[in-house]
Amino acid sequence: MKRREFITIALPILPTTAFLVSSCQPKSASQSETTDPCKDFSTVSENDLKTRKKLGYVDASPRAESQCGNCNLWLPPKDGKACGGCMLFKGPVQTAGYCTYWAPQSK
Amino acid sequence: MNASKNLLFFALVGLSWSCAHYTDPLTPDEALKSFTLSDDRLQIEVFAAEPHVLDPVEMVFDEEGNAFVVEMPDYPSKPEDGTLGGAIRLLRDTNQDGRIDSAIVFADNLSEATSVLPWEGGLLVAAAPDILFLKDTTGDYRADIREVLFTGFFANNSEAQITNLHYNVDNWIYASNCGQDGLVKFMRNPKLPPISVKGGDFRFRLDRGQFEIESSTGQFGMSVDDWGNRFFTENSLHIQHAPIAGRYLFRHPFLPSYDVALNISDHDPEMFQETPAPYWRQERTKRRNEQFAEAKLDRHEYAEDHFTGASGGTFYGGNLLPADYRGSVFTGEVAGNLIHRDIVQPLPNSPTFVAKRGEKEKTTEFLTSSDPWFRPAQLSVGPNGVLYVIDMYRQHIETPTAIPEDLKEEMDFFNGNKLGRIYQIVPKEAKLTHEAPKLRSKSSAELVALLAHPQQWWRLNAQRLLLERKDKSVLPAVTDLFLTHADARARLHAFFVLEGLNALTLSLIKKALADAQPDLRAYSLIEAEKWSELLPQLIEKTTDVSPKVSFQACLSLGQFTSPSVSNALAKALSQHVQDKWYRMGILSSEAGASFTLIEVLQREGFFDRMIPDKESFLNDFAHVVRARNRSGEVQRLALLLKKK
Repeated sequence: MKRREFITIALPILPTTAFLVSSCQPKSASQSETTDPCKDFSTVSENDLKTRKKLGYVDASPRAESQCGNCNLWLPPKDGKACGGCMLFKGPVQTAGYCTYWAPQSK
Repeated sequence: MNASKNLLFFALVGLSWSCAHYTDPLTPDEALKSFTLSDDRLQIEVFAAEPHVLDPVEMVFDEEGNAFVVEMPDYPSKPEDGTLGGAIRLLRDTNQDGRIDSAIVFADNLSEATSVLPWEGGLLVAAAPDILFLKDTTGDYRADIREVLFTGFFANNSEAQITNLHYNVDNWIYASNCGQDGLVKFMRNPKLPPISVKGGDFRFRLDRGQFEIESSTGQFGMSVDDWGNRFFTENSLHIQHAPIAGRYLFRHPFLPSYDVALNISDHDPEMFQETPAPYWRQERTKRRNEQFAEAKLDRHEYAEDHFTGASGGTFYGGNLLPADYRGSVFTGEVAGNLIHRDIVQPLPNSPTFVAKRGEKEKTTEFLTSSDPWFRPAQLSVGPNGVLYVIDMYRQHIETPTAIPEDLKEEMDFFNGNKLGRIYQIVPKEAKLTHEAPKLRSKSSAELVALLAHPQQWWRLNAQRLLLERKDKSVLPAVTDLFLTHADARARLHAFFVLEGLNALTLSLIKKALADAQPDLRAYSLIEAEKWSELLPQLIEKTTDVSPKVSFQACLSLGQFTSPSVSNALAKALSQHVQDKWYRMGILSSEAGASFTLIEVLQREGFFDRMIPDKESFLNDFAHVVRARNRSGEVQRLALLLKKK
């Protein structure tokens, strides 16, 4: 790779960690909880909400490299859907989320 | 087993929960027959069993030789009535026959205690959300002092909470936190601001009132080798290492990644179990794999023969087992009902390690059982060099919420909570000593001599007691041990006794910097950070032949900010750019993430021939520049890189 090529690639890199996103990019109105389908639990049963809590689910993983998005139990968003799911409980799951049951993906 | 013992056993077990899918428990002596050891020079024996021990998850020996066991009957969920079953028991072998025949409850009513560490005549106890100090002051072996030292740890999942307390050779106490979120407060000095342990583990020094996040993310099991290197266990990942310590990794908040947990196994994920997967796991895995296929995901889950419940990694620092086992790391696998062994070796060109199978264990395990109740949650090494196996002995070990409701109908997750076994693995024909160490009755001079003991347990406990006593009369003898002893391990312990007693001088650190043993040189670099006059020696060590030393020199140099530091770090980066840890470690410091460093690299022609590893460093450097958002730096970087 030449230097010029590198500059065009490296410099526009956006911070990836959650704290940087939150500190550099203030939330827009469109991201507010009221309209975010990934925070809509209206169709989720009480039991599934309890399961989620028992497993220590959080929207933002405390461990940057261990997130729902790279967990073996992660179900990616289906066509047209904004958020994914989990095999352990019903309801929306954030790609950057985490629970104590996290396991690396295997093939 | 005689009739009365039979009656006692079945009384303890209560109703038989037998059903088509799950077996009943075995007696301790029957369970012995279920074991297969890969080495016929060794044998396994019962050391303790119910009713003396129930649901054990850890056993440690204090300086007197007392065996304390942590019991976790509240696994996998606390009773809804608010009672707490967690306890710590002192096990007694009153007739000195090598088998426990009585027990005293040292402490009970504990919330999820999972680990203890002997300390100042009592025990430190990891019991989420706290780390406690418990002590008996009346001589009845019942704790009558209960002090909360730290509080604020995550406490919502008993499989991922503060645990694994270890006193290390560097005088710090380490604990695993599994990376969980928590704001931790030190109750002995409540004016200090709480610290976040999110994303890391924890370490502290009570002698200096220090506490901080550590960079690893251990779950249940921490093995600490003769040199203080820590390896940690985490479910599917049975042995990991964190090459960059937290005090360096978290120096600034602009790195693109803070993940330093490295899986060092060269043989993952395969294990060789003797038991078939339990029905619930087979069925759940079948369903999950169907879901993967349905969602067209290129993923697969394995119900057996793949690590999933690795637990209790333990370094063997004893000398009772044959020489080929010294330095091994033993790890339980509670799902596979086996004990796995790793031989851990430093890599020749990187500051980390590789864990390999033994030659005789390429297609088998150190120990397997045909009993699906065998749950080797933890291991322990005694003062006599015996390798102990801590067997929780439960019908099921799994987070109930992770099992489909229909499969749980025939499962009792507490079946076995009145049982528990501890086994000892010893060489056949071994003549075991049951004499208690009684270190408290030894003079300080005798403790100094024990710093050179061939077994890790003695060296560490002698060091700990010398620091506890604060007896400065030992300084000449300890200094002499450090300067003259042929065993580098003895020199290392002496070095840290001097450190703990605030007796490390400039000349002693210089001596350590020149030691033949790389780990000792690396530790001396950490101490050298406190002496600005040693900066030239720190710079010199960036070219040390040992990656352990040259890497530590890069990390330590990052504590300084003079231009000569960026120069030295740039040279080190040029030499080691293909190693991820050097790139990350250098970038973790102010000097390593400075434009001075980039300018030096530019002058040295670093960018003339780009390779992927250089691009990776530049990507990360650019990330830091953007994240810290200092005025004009982005433009400066662009200009710098455009220069011919």
